[in-house]
Amino acid sequence: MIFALLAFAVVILLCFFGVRIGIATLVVGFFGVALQRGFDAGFTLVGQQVVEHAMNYNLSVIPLFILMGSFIHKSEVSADLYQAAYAGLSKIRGGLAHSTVIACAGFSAVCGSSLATAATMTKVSMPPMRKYNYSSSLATGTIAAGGTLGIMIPPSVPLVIYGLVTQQDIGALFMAGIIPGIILVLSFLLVVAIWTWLDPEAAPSDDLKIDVNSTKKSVKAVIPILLLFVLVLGGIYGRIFTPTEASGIGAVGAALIAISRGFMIETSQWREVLVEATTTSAGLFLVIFGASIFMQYITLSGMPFELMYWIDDMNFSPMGLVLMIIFISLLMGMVFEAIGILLLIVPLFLPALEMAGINLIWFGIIIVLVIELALITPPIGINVFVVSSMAKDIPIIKVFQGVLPFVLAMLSVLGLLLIWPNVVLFLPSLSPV
Amino acid sequence: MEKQVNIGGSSISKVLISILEVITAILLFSMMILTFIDVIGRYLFNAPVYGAAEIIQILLIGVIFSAMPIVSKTNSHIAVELFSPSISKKIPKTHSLVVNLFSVCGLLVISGEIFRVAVDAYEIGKTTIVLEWPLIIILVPTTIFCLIAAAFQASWLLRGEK
Repeated sequence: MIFALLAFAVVILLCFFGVRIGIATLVVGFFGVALQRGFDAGFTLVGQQVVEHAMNYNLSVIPLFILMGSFIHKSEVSADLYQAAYAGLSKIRGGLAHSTVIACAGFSAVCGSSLATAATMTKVSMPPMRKYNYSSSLATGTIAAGGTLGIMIPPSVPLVIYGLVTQQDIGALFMAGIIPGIILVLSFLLVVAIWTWLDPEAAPSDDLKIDVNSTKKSVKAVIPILLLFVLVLGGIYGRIFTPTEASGIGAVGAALIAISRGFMIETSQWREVLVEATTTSAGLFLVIFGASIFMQYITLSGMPFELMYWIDDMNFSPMGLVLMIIFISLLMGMVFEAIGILLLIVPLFLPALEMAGINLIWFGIIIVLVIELALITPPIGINVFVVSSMAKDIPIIKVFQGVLPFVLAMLSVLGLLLIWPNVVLFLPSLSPV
Repeated sequence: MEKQVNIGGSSISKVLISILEVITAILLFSMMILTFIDVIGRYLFNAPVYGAAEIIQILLIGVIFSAMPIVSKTNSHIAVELFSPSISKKIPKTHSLVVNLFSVCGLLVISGEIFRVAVDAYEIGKTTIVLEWPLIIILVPTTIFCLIAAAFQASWLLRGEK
């Protein structure tokens, strides 16, 4: 186990230095296996793992869902989502911030990228919030936190990866994410409501004129996106489509939405969107290759099983084990980005989790919520950096102050899911199969 | 954090990237259309595309590796950027050398090992299961894409930038 821990330490050190996580895990994993079983075994493992993952049918959902998101991103629906949400929420204090939460949730669910959501929504919702003198903390905090919502709300690439690592049904995971996703959205709305109630100056009244015609147009524009969302999720849930088939349909549907909105007419636009999706996927796959090689070494070293026995000896309760993993993941969230936590921390504790009889669908939702937290908490808090890099006049500390109440809301939701697993497990339990 | 820095590069590398962009775009587009047609064929006409799942697998490895050189060229792999910017400021040359050297070695090992899988498959006449396509015709282009990626990464090494 000492060598395995050392290997983890080297990976973390290399990542801090700036070596790509996929490369760092690949090299350390390779040397680990090579030292234990000889260089030939190390080399063979690399080829075998890379080819196996690059030709894994189930992993083809990754580029297709990313492509779906790129089409949605390209079709500039964010402004329509925002306007449609505002039409319903304009009478409430802080209506613009409330609408930001709803639009972020809707956009990030179909777009799939929390970074793209944070960047897009900064462009769409910062100008009106500035115009009506919203506090900069409230405005930026709402956007940075709202951007994370899509990781929980399916279809979600992190949930797909979790499902593949733990061999859980992706349809069930997607279903499990829906209620927690909605609760998160509601808790964010509550944060905005409480904030603007305690500090009315944070959101002075916004008497934004609602133009009936353009609102109708926005609502109409949102409907196809909702339909696509229902088709993709309903198809997976009803076992009509496999996740791969659903992602193909989702991508074609998103392309049609983009075309109907006047985008994706020229071949250059197609090339741009397709290349964006393939390069994002290639970056992710490199992490998958590296992490799988590294985890092969960790498994070979016996660490996951030693951990399992150690946890058994320590008489950890199942909840104690989950809390410990959450704590470690939060720490690691400062070092690795989302996929790193899923690919390095989850497999490490998988035998222990299975032995403790923990429901892995529920645990998947818990760990995804932890990843969402990592996206907005220091020191990395990548969403915070994205928002602050786009709203340059607002100091980053203001954005961190702004996300703090949302962090508290997420921690409360985390507590809720820990106490009542049924919030997560209710929908999957209704599944037809 | 992703970092998109574009470097000028020679005209040959620009043409190469252009070609790779077209290839990777066509592959992903085909994957999308094939999945779609397969589903429609299966549910509406009871006629799924023969070997669709296998073609999707082949397209997947093609999509991923044809995009790898583009990722290397723009140097936009996923990396943690907590201390590395300050390290990079203090010792820019050493930092760039170490980071890029790791990437080059990693990509070279991957290319070498995919090639070995390809040769092994050729020697025992291994094919894909349904369509019976020889694995080597899939894995050799994959190796070449990965080598190009390693070469682009190495060009960063020579530039001494990150």
